[in-house]
Amino acid sequence: MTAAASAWWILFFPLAAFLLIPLIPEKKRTLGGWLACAGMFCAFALTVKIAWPIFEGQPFHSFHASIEWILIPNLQLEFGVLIDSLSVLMLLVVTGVGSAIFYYSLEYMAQDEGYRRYFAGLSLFAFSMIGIVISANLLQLFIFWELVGLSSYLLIGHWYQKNEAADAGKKAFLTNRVGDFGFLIGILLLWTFSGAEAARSLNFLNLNVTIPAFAQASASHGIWITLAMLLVFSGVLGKSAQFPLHVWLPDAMEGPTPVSALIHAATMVAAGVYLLARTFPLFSLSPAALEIVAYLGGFTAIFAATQAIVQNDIKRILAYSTLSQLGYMVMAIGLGSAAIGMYHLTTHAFFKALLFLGAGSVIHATHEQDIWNMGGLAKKMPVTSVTFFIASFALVGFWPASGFFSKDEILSLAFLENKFLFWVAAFTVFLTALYMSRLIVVAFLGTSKIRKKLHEPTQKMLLPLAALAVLSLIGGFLGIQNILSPASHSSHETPVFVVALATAFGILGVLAAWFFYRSSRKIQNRFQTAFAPIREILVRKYYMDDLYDLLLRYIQQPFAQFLSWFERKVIVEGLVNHTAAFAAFSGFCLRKLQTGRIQTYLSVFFFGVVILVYCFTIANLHP
Amino acid sequence: MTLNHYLITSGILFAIGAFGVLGRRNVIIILLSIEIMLNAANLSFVAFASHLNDLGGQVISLFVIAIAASEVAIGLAIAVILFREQGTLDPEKMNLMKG
Amino acid sequence: MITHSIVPWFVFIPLLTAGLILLIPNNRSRLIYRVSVAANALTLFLAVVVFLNFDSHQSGWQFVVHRPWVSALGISYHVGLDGIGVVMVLLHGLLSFCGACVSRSIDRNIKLYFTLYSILVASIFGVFTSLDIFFLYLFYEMAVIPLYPLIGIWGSQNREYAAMKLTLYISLGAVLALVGLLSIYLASGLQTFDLVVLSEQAKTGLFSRQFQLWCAPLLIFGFGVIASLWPFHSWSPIGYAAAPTAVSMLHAGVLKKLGIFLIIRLVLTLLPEGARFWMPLVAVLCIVNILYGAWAAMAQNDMKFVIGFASVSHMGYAFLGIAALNQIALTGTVFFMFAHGIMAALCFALIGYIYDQTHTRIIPELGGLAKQIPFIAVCFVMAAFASSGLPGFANFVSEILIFFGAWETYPLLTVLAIFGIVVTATYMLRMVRHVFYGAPNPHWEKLKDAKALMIKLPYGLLVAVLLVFGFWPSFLLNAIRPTTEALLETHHSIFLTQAKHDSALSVGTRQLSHLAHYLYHGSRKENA
Repeated sequence: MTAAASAWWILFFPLAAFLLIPLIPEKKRTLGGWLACAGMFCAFALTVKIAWPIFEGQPFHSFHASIEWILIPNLQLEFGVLIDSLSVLMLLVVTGVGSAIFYYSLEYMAQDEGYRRYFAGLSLFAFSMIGIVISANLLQLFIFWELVGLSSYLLIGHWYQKNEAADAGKKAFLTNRVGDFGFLIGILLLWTFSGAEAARSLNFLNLNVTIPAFAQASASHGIWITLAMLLVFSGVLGKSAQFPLHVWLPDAMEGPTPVSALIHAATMVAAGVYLLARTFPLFSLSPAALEIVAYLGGFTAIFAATQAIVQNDIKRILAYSTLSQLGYMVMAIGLGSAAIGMYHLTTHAFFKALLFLGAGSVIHATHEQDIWNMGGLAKKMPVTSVTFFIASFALVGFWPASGFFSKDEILSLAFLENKFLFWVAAFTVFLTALYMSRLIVVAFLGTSKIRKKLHEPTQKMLLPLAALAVLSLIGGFLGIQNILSPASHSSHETPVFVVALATAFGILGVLAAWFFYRSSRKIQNRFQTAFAPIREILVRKYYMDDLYDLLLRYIQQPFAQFLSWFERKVIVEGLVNHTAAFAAFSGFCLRKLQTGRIQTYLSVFFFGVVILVYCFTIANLHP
Repeated sequence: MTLNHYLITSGILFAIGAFGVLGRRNVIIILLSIEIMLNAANLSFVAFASHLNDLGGQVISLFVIAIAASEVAIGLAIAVILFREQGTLDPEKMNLMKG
Repeated sequence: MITHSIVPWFVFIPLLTAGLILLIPNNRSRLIYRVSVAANALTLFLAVVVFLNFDSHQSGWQFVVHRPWVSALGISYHVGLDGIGVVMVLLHGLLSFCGACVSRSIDRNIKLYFTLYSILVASIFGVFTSLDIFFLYLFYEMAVIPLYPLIGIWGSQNREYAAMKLTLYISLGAVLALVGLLSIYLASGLQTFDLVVLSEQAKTGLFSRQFQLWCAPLLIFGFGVIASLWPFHSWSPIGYAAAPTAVSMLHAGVLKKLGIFLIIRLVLTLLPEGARFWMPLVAVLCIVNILYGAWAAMAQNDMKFVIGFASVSHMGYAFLGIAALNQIALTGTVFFMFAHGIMAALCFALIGYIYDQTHTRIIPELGGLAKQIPFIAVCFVMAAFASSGLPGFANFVSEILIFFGAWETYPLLTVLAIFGIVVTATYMLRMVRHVFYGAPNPHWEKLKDAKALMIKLPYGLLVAVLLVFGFWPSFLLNAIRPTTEALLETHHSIFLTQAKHDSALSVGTRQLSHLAHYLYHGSRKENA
């Protein structure tokens, strides 16, 4: 099998699983789960096969293959695969972490009523996500981009009978649609810039040549490039949940926990970062666009981290943490290094998926999501707890866990490029340590508040936990950063100051949380009253949800009502009914002529004939 | 007698018929008046036929007679039904179609 | 070759069916239903045969049958198909079959219903296949006649008002168009109604620019009424809400497309300069269509009204595609007519199913239906996503083509049009959320899902068609492409020789500014 053929097969396996699962009868539903897993495992195996040269330390030869999809003069759209080191890395993450989570779901969702629907949705997601990764052109990427939005909608709304879940799915899809609105216009702009009318193409390889040529053609083209890239970035804002379109991600936690782990932590939300990396050659044409990207990323990092501190739901804490980490990645790319952003994406996928799966196994055992109702889990669920600690360790960025390496790359990049963003990012490390330690201290340490007997989940759920824990721990030593930029590692030394500062901030955060949340209730209460106004703002999420609600309620809804009123009153009653009334009135006048008496009609008829005869004969005889 | 005499007679007959149709208050009389008008037309046809030495006019007048016969048959039948339904033959009262 | 004289049968089979149904006694209602479904299955089969036998490498007319009829007036029976016609025939074949299938819930006066339905089907086929303006118009008017009793007798709330309004609107538009058609006949001076002859001659500048400028709006707005161009759209939501399911399906799915189809066939072919002059105005109006319809849909509570306004909104995309006057967008428009026809009909069919079961269409009264009727729910969610232009469905391909094409001509309007799909997603998902999701309502415990294969068939078929053409759009595009290319070649050859770029919009703006200028200075003079 050629490499291109295996790339197509990677895409095909999850699709086949998605199509086959609905055909399985409800009685043999476990078969559906295994089918989905099989599809994912095959995809993973093929990915490893493609990536094998990398593991052997050889340079990776990228390749490109495509088939015609739409063929109209002046518009050729093709369907293709583009496999280079970037997509191989992302494929490894998606299929690797995906396999672990699929396997985990077998046990987690075993009792669920919508078991087959769940696995069908998960397979659809895997198909669309792989599609994004291997896309060879921007429009194809957009197609799969929308499809992951669809599968996200379906999976968030898996428990559709719960109002919150149904609303959250809708919110996620619509927020993404707003971002995609800009994205599509950005695609149209790039298409226009990509050369002469007949030669236009949205192929990445092509764009990387034509757009720089366009930018160099004239100085005034720069502003158009910036505009186009910012529009593309608005798609990233939606999918990767960056400020101000971040509001859907915390609500998306209404979905099943493995979904949160796979879609809303490890892969789909990272698709935005992937898009940035994919289009980085275009972004780098516009320093202004990159700067906005960097600042929005940095802002989201600290903005989300502050909100994570006051959340009580274990999954929502992790959701805000995801937002914050995505902010890091976006910032890294904005600061000019796609490789570092992708590096953090990879390690983040390991430890954040692990955190969610750990939270899932806690929720599975306790049926409880509020951390204040847990406590003392470390003693009752030792394996889960240890893996959770490892992941938190990596998230905060302590040596030797994987997060340490990727985060330090970002921090040192920021240190070199932009001091302000460096301090923002460094302070976010402190906040990260604070909210994760709070979670651990409250939920895992101390005394248990749960009456019933708890036990560890079975092997099916523990195996993925263990695998991801290993990866989170040693991910920094695997040479992931070398896949994208073999030279970057030695190009600049990480300043010792940066490492020291980050570690210090991390330890500070842990200590602060330790002392505060282990202290007596009285001190905690005093603190809480002292910081009540700030706390209120954080709990209300900086009033962002309220703001959007207000906008919808007081602008969009009235506008819709107004148009509906306009339709009813002005167009229908005003124009249409008055026209009808005019017709009726003229009929009312004219019907006076219709006496119904035959002799009247006849008289008119005779006089008419006489006049006609006169006109045609006598009048013509004497002109 | 010249053609004009026939035509004048025919015209007078036609006018009598027309006044009958427009002025009388009885459906039967109206039908009779229509017959008079038809016969006025027949008279002109025959007169022209004789004047132009063309048999076509006489043929048409035969047609007209046949049609007049059937028309009277239908017209009288309608008059009978009208009388049964409304108890009168006054055309002023027949205004069911009034708008 | 069997396919040689196949096209006349598209009209004859439904007409014969109408006659056959009249011969069946009224109490054999199942038989009437079966005969009707079978006849429509036969026309669908013929449509598929024609589609598969269509030679997509040539742009001219195929399957032509030509018999002189009234040679004194230049009327002849002339039928045939081009790449646009064959797509529309396939669409109509599909929808008339599905419409007949879902008509099983009709419970009174079944004989008359199916007779009228068959006449409706026949006349729509007639419009799509006729190549003679006389027959084209005849069938167009013939399609309106059965609509009135179909809505007036078997409709739901407010049906008489709706039937009257719909008929009046469409007839009024038809009268406008008739004036245009007759003036084309007279102005050509060729003494022929034959579209093929006329379009051949039009390429060589048969009609003067002056004539085209005043004749084109008669046709554009006359046929625009049936395609619900703003502000002539208000018959459509009310009409759909009142009509029985199958009529809503055919009306939203096919009849509305007649307007667009005829504008392409008559205005773009015969009056290129007129089209060029008036299309910018149409482009602005269609953006109003898109956004106005979408927001109005958001404020509705009746499911059928939501879809009714949605179809008003969606027709805006079709107009935008025509208005762009380039091949990408025009191809997209033809594709869009197909995709939207299937999608709109699917929505109405599903709403009809829900209404038959619950006897309500008011969104807040429903809720949690996905539990009781999962099959219908899945189909509806798919239709909702197709409607909001999600990839994988044919609608996405067509909308993308229209956007790419329109972007060349009207970039700013295209941005507004793209915003329309955000709003579309909002109201469609809102409907899905409140009808199918959420806590199940105990009131609807006893609903029955579609179980039997024959009941599932129409819904499944429509969903499958949307998906197939969404994944492999080339099936359709290959057939459409040569026709649109040939159609627009005329435009190019004319406009290359002519540099004038006046349009209704620019002339109107200039007149308005003159007026404002005059008023301003006039009032200043008075002050002085």
